[in-house]
Amino acid sequence: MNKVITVNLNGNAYQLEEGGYIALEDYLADAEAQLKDNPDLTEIMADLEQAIADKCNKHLTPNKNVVRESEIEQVLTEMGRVEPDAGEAAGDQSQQRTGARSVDSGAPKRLYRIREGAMIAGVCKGLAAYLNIDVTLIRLALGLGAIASAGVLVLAYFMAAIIIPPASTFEERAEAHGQPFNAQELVGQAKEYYSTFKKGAENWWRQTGSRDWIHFKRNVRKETDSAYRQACRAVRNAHWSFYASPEVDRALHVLTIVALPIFALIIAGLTVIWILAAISLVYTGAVFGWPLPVAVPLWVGILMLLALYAAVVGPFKMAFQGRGYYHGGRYYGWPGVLGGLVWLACVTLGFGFAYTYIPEVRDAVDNLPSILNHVVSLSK
Amino acid sequence: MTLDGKLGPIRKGLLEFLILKIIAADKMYVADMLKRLSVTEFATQEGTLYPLLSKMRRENLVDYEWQESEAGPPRKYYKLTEKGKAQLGELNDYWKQINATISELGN
Repeated sequence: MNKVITVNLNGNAYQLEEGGYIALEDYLADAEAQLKDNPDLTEIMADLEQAIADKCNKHLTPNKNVVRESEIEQVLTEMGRVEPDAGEAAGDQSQQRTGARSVDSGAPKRLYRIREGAMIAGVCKGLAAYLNIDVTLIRLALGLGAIASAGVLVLAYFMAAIIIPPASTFEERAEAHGQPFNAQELVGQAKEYYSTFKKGAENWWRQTGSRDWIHFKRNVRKETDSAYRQACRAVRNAHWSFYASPEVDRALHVLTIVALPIFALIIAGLTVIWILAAISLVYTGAVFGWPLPVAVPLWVGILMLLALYAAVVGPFKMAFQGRGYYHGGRYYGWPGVLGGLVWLACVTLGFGFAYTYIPEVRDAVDNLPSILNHVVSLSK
Repeated sequence: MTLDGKLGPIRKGLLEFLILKIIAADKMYVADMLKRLSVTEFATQEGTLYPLLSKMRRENLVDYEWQESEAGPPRKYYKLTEKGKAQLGELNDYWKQINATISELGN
C-alpha cells in the first residue's frame, strides 16, 4: 500500500504514487534549473508537463487510475534530461528551486490534540484547527460550559484528552490542519529554519563588529546552502529508505505484528484495573480499600483516577500508536485490527472474571442504573 | 576520447537540420517527430527537443499552430516559416558540399 498524491499536469489531475511524485518533482525542478535563463521557460515547462501527462495516460486504464512509481520512472527515462540548448549555457545549478508547483490540497482533516501552545492537553487547539475557529473562543466556551455544567464538561475534557491522539509528527500536524503533507514542505521548513539562523548569526556578528564582514557573510551563505542541501537529501533519503529494502520491510512488519498485541494487552490490563478502581470508588467511596481524603469530593477523586490512568497508559498508548504509524500509516491494516481485537477480548475477559469473582463488581454492575443516578445527583 | 564521444557532438549539431527537414515534409506534433527520429541514429527525447524547438521558434525558423486532437488537449503542430525554408535550403546545399568533399578525399 503506497500513498497517492494528486498533481496538476498542465491543467489535468493525475494521481501518482508518492515515490513517483518525488521523482517527478525532482525532474521538473531540474528542468526548471536547466532552463532558468530561457525566455520561454513557462511555455517549455507546460510542454514538458503535457508530454509527461500524455505518457502517463498510456499507463492508465478505466480500472487503474494511479500511476505507479516504476511507471513514472519509465516515463521520465523516456523524456530524458532537459538540456539547455546550445549557446545558452546553463549557469550554476546548485540552487534548487522550490517553486510552488500546484499540488491538489485534497488532504483530509483529522482530529488531533495539538500540544504546541496548548494550555492543558491541546484538546482545544486541536478542535480549533479541526473546526477552523479561533482557539480562544473554544476555550471561553469550554470554561463557561464547565461552570454551567457543574464540572461535567471538565470530565469530558479529560476523556477527550485520553481518547484523541496527539499530533506528534509533521504529517499528523498537517492533517490536524487539513493541509497536504509532502517532502517539499519539510524542505521548506528546514530552509526557513536556516534562514532565521543565518539572520541571527549576522546580527550577532554585526553587533560584535569585524573587518572580515564580507568574508564572514560568504562563509555563512556557503554553510547555510550546504546545510539546506543536506536537509533536502536527508528528506529524500528518509523517503527512499521507506521503500528501499524488502528485507528490512519484512522484519519491521513482523516486529509490528508481535509488538502491537503486547502493547494492546498492557493497555487493556491497565484499562480493566482503572475501570475496577473507578467502580469501587463510586460504590464504596474507596479505591481498593484506600479511602479518599475527607476533603476531596467524589468527582475530584474520579478526575484524579483519570489523570493517573492517562499518566500510566499514555506511554504505552504512544508506543502502540507509534507502531501503527510506522511507515507513515502503512501498518494501519490488519495488524491494527488484530491489536484492536486483542484489546476488546482482554476487556471482555477481564470484565467477565471481575463479574464472576469480585462480589463488589457484580453488585456494582447490577446496580449500575442506581449508581448513575447517584453520580447525577452528586453533580447537581 | 571514445568514438561515441566524438559522434555525439556531430549528431547534436545536425539535429536542428534534421528537424527542419522533418517539418518541411509536413507539419508535425512533437511526439511524431520523436517517432520519426527514433528509428534513426538521431533518436532523441522530449527533454532535448522542446528546448531546441523553442530556440528555433525564437530564431523565427519554425512556428506552431494549435490543433484539436481526438484524444486529450489540443496539440502544437510545428511548421516551417519562410526563413526556416530558406535556411533549410542553405543547409541542404552545405550538406551536399560536405558530402562531396568527404568523397573527394577518398577512403
